[in-house]
Amino acid sequence: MQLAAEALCTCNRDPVFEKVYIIDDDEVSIFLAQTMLEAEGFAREYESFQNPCDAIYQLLPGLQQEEVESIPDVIFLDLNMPQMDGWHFLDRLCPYAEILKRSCQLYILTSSVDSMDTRRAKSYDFLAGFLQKPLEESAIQRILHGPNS
Amino acid sequence: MNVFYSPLQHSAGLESMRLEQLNRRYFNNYPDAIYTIGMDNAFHTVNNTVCQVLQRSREELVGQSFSLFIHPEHWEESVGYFRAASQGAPQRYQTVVLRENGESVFLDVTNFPLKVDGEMVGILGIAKDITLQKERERALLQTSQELQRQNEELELFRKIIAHDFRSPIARLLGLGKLLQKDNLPEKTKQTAVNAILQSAQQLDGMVRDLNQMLTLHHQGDEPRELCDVEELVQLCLSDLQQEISNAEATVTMAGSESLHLFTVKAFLTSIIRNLLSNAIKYRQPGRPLEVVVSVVQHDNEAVISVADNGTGMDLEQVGTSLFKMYKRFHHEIDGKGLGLYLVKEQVRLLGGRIEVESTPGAGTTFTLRLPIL
Repeated sequence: MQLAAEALCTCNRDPVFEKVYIIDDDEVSIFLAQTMLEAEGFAREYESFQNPCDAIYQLLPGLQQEEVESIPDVIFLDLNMPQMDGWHFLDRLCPYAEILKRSCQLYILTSSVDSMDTRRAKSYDFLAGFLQKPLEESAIQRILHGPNS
Repeated sequence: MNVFYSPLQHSAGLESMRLEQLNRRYFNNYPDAIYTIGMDNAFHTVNNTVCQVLQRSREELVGQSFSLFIHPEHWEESVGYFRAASQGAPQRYQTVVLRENGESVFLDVTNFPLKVDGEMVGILGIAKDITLQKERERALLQTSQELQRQNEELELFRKIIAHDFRSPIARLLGLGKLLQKDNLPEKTKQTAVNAILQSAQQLDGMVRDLNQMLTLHHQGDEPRELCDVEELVQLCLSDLQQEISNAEATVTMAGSESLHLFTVKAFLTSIIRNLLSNAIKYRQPGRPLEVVVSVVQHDNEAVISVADNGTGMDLEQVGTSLFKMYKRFHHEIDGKGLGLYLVKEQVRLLGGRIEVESTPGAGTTFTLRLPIL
């Protein structure tokens, strides 16, 4: 089943970000996140990965060569995934913490309400935040315009 | 002669006893087993307690090798300890002896070397019966293991609730919020409604699974009955008829042996049904599914195997998580992997074992071994 997320733009501004990655094994979650982001005019381009390994392969060249243009502005990362979980994904990115901090806002977006997960996330200093599913308008607005929006 | 005088009033009588006599009484009536063993391994003297512990008369023991009474599993180490003591070094160790009726008695043994005129003549030993203590230790260990297992399970339940149950709930919340939005394109709306139904079904399935799992824990002492294994397989096949025909699968029974097992019918049925349903779920797309169920008796075990030509899996990658709660390996297939966890638990409760062999792209074989009582 391919879930089509049709353009749903309720705002007429230009999208704030250029490119967003959504990494989640569950396509309903991808559909939901993307539709909500689109409704807020979040980004021009959305790319989703049901297998985080694919995202790693796509990210690595840009990170290694420090080509900031090829790195997405924002990444939403799920934690519970079968082949490679979110933690493993973050571990693979650790060597590139500095360039990530400069060029990309990386958010965990999980349905987990396990406090151990929030605690564990604190050990990755290149993470921009820990978000709980479902992704809400208010959370999207905070990413777009900072905490006081 | 009565020796049990009060020492104050009758010290003269006591004094009249020769020290050797006193020693002998003490030796014979001491509550622990006391004995001497010669260099030829044979009992030389034994006190009453040795006779009580081994439930043999003095005549049956004196002159016999002590190793005749040691439990075969402890024979080698006991002989080793004896040799060390008879070479001059006192030894303390635990061992097990066997009574004539086959009962085991746990002993805490201390053996001292015995020398006469500087020459080793054998050993003097004291053995305390610690069977009761050992039994308590074993019971305690069993209880603590069971507690540990239950605690681990509790932690798993916590994880299931924090992660797995939260996942369809978060989806339902998100989809509900999405549907509240104005100007939703019809197609998006339709997708959201379908996804709501799918998430609710998933949640329902998980609640049912969890309920089944929790019920399982109250079924430790389910009554057992004589079951015809082949009949149970047929029962499962008719339960799964719809799925089997939808998958256009062929299920064959191998091994014409009729096998009866004294077991918990509901568990065995659930195990077989879960294994069959897994085979159907993980079939290789584009290849007609063939499942072979074989039932044979091997020694004192019933060996039931379910082999398929499905997608298979890389067991090295899957590792030990295969039988755990809520682990998913197959990206494309809905549902959480509680089935195999239930299988493992039920097999455990039936006192059996389950093994898996698998080759990615070629198929999987689950082999279940259950004791025939």
